[in-house]
Amino acid sequence: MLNAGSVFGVYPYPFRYESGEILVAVEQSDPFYTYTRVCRGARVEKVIASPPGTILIHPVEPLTLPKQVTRFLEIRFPPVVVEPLAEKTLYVTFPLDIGVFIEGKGDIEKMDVFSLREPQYSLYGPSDRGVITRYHESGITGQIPTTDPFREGVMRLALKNASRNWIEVSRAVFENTNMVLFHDEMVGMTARMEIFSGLVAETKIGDRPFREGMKRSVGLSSGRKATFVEQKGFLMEHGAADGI
Amino acid sequence: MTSFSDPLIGEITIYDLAAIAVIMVITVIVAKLVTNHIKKRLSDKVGKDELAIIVRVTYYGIIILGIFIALPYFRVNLSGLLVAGGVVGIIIGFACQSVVSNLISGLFIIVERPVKLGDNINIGDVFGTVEEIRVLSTTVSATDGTYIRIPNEKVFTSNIINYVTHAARRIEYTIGIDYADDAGRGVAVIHDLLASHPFVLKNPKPQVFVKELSPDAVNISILFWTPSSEYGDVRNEMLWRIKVALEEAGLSFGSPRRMVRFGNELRMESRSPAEGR
Repeated sequence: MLNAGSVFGVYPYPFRYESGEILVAVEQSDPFYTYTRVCRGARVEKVIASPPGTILIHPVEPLTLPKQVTRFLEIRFPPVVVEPLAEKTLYVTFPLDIGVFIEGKGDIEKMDVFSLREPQYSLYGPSDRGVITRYHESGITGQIPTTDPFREGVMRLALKNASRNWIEVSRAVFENTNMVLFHDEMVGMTARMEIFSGLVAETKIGDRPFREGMKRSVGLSSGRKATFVEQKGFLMEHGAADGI
Repeated sequence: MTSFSDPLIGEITIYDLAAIAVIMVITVIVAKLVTNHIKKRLSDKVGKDELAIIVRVTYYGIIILGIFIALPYFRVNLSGLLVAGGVVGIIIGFACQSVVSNLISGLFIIVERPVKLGDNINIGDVFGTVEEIRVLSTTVSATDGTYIRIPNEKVFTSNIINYVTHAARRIEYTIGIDYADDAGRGVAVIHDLLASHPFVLKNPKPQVFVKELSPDAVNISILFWTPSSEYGDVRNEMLWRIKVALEEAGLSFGSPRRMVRFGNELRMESRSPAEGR
């Protein structure tokens, strides 16, 4: 198992990181620097026309590869039945991409995003009113599961059944607005899903890590540089379980 | 001492002047409120120039309406003005019929939004990408790069096919597998291929099944969904990849065949070269 702490972080360049399927390097090639990334056989090179600075390698939300077609992440998991007016917390996994950012003069800019996973997309809802989602199938656990931090993160998901009926839930859809990832030796995110009926639920991404010491990752979604305001939720209007 | 009802200028009294002032102040306030509302609502729907025209026309329209409301207080004989205005209105109406029709259609298009900037659409016989929606016309960039201006009246009254309004679209192929080959294996190969492509949506699930036993081949129907924005690329790419995958799996495609039956018994003769001499 790779240790995320060994790659996610801040790197003054020139530097070189090579492990398994990944090579990330910024090396001097007078008069500039050359950024090189190799992952799953694909190679990207860019010239950095600036004096020595820093590179950030952080986990990012998995919504831009191979190109951005959606801002929604859908996690499918085995059906969970939640009792009326109860709240349960469980852990699911989510896919992640790896982002490379360049920092200088107080500004951080995305330079590259790559992934060790092959993405899958899906449709949540009918084709006329639904949304395209980045699709991920996950198991569920009551404890923090062990994952490969280069491929998957862990989401602590609080399920709140706000209705007076037993409700089965097997999927959650999140919007990337204010999607915040945290990392230490693993990558984590917190979220909340308030279920109003079998058809309607609201999901929100939290802006706190689920354990102390995790660092906030630089994200891709707009507004990440701003301070956090009230978290915007996504209203799931097309069901929270299969067959609805 | 002058009272409010005493004529001040001609037949106009102080009361009339006050009423005119109040009406015009209210008119200006209403015009500003309405135009501000229009700016907020339409700023992301129409171009800057068109928005400026709409705002100006609305503003002065409301001002003119306010003047008409205030006219009785000017002690003006409206009957003659209305007759003259009516005649002028009819003349202008006939002269500007198509312009007004396009203008009204444009406003309805802006409000109803059957097309948006960047949409791939088909209006009548025009196929392309919407470049601009103006008050009088909509411009489309055809797939061959041609600039096409369509009057809004035609846009509004034509059948519009918008290829990207819905999130996803379905792609459908029919592939014929030779009778000598295993069509079931072909179905499995295509299923695996579809599952490996990111833009072949997981839901609705792709469908691959034997649709027809045609005279020439076992026809396999392939149905899957893709994001509307990726429709063209995915449709072209997957058709080729399916062809390659089936060939790599050792499957061949059906081709037209005809079975010929002879009414009489056929006799075959073979001769050696020496006998033939």
